Amino acid sequence: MRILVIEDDEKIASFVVKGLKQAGHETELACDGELGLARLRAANHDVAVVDIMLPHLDGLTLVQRARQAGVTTPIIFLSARRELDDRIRGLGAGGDDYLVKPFAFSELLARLQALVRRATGTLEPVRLAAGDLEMDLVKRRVLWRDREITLQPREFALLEYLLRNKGRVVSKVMIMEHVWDYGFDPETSLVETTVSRLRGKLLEGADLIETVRGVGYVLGR
Amino acid sequence: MSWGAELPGRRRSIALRLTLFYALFFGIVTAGGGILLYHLVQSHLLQEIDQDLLRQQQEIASILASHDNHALVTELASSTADGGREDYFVRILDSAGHVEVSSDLRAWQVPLPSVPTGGLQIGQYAYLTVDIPDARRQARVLTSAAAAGRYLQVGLSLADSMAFLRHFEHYGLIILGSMLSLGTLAGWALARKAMAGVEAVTRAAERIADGHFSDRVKVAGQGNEIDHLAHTFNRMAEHVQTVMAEMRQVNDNIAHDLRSPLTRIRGLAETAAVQAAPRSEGAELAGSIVEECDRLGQMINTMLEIAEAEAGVQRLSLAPLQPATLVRQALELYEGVAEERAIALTSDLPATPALEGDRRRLLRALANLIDNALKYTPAGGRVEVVLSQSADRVEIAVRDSGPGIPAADLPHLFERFYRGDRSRHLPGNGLGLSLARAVAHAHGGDIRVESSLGSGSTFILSLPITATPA
Repeated sequence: MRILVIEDDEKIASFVVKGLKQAGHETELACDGELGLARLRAANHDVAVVDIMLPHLDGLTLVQRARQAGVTTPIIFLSARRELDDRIRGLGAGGDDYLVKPFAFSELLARLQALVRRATGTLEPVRLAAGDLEMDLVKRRVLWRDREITLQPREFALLEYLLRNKGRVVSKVMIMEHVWDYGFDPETSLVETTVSRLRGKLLEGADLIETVRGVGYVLGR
Repeated sequence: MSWGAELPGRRRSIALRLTLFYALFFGIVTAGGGILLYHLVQSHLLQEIDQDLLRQQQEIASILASHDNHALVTELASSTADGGREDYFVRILDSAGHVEVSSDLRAWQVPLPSVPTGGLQIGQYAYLTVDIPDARRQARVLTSAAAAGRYLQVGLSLADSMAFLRHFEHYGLIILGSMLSLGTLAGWALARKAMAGVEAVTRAAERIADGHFSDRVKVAGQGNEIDHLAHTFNRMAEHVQTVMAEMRQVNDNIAHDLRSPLTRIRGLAETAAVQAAPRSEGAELAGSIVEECDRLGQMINTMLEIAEAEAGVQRLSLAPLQPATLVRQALELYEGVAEERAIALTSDLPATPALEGDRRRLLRALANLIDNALKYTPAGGRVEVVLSQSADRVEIAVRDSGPGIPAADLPHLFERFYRGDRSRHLPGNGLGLSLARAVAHAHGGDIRVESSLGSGSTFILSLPITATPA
């Protein structure tokens, strides 16, 4: 993917760009609003990350102008102020998604990929697989080396989420949000317990799910 | 709050006291004036009578001095019987006090006073007021010393004057009575008028206390004390509004200023954690940094969330939801924790009407209550969540078998960062209960605690079935 990052904070820009490059994406950085708008209009990026607070031209205006100029690139906002949430969500600004700082890089990556999938109209897969593990989303069955594994609904949802983000680290909060529809970390061992039950049921496949201390879980890295 | 219930009574008592004060004031002024006037009139009447008596005495004395007995008898007869005055008498007594000559005394029929014991020098005279027992009347008698040791007595009944004074008393009492009722009425009307202004200010104060910081009291523009109070109150309200707005701004700025560096730290640590060899020391360290960043980030968000909810500026995503489902979802989060610590986590969830609420926020509030209950319950204890319905409310009670809360801690439980002595060693940031209450308030509900040492604690989240966000 070709990704444009418009962010004036050097440190944040640096780890975002570094992380995206490591994930195999071609990444370009613009350090202020004017420059960002110019790059957004000039080149054809697959997706753009835009910080709200920017020198010269703020992120919201930048995106509004880009949309007026006919730019259709999917855009994700980064915001440090929650008061802007509603404006960002509003259709007026022209953004497609937003993340509030401090965010997990893994979540940014996951959302960027989701945006691109949506924009390019990628079909929803009916099967997910990683190594010897296979998941049939239609029949809602999980197979390990052709042997069926029976999972509870939450375990199934967790495995599905990990498979959809194969190779990417997903945080506890992301899991809470997608599997339990719960918007914050309740600081309980719920995710850990469910992951360990899932590992137990996968038997020899337990190592497929890797724990990244402090960051989250990754399947099939 | 307790003072909220006290206030109306106090207000009534001020109105009552004002009314009584007015009535009393009018009464005292009227009665005082009446009594003064009564005495003035009385003494004036007596003075008139005394002068009248003196004139009579002088007339008789001059006849007596002329030794014209015939003229004297004629005078005495004419002064009483025909054309004379029945309320008037004249007597001439000798030095021993025996009556020598008198006017017609039939109308008097009572023992009249004799000569004053000390005796009088010639030309001297003395006044005396005597009671006439039969008719509750009084008479004024002037005794003077005449030549040859004789005494001359002239008397006048006070009946007319007394009748006049009784009339005076009668009307005086009527006037006093009307002044009292007038005073009461005027006092009541004035108190009501004054209190109406105070009540208007009170109502506005109540609205502001409920979070409507832009409310103001209407100033009537009459330049009176109530206007002054309203004006001063409005200035204060404006100040509060400014401070609240500034506080919100400061909150947002702090959040912004803290979030950017936090994003940097977290981002760098996350990169390091993912790149480091799994289970290496570097991965562990970087992972810990990420965890701490998340904890700090969550704390900042929670503080802002509480501030917004308490200030009534939070936007809730209201949707109908089943309280029992909400409780089940919250319980699911803690089943693992309860099992680990051998605590029986049970629930009683009868069917209740659905309520309007922000699912995620309510779930978080409820989760905080359950989390709290589990933290304070020793291993082998019990935590129970009970759902109930009362009139227009749904109540979710979280009961634990923990040690209970000391009475001294109860008033502070919901304060931000408040941690009682017993909780200092437990994990947590001291924001859980504040957030839970802020969420309850934002939904038009509340949280109350029932607890005593040794018998566990119950936190009751009470929510209106129809949400009325502040």
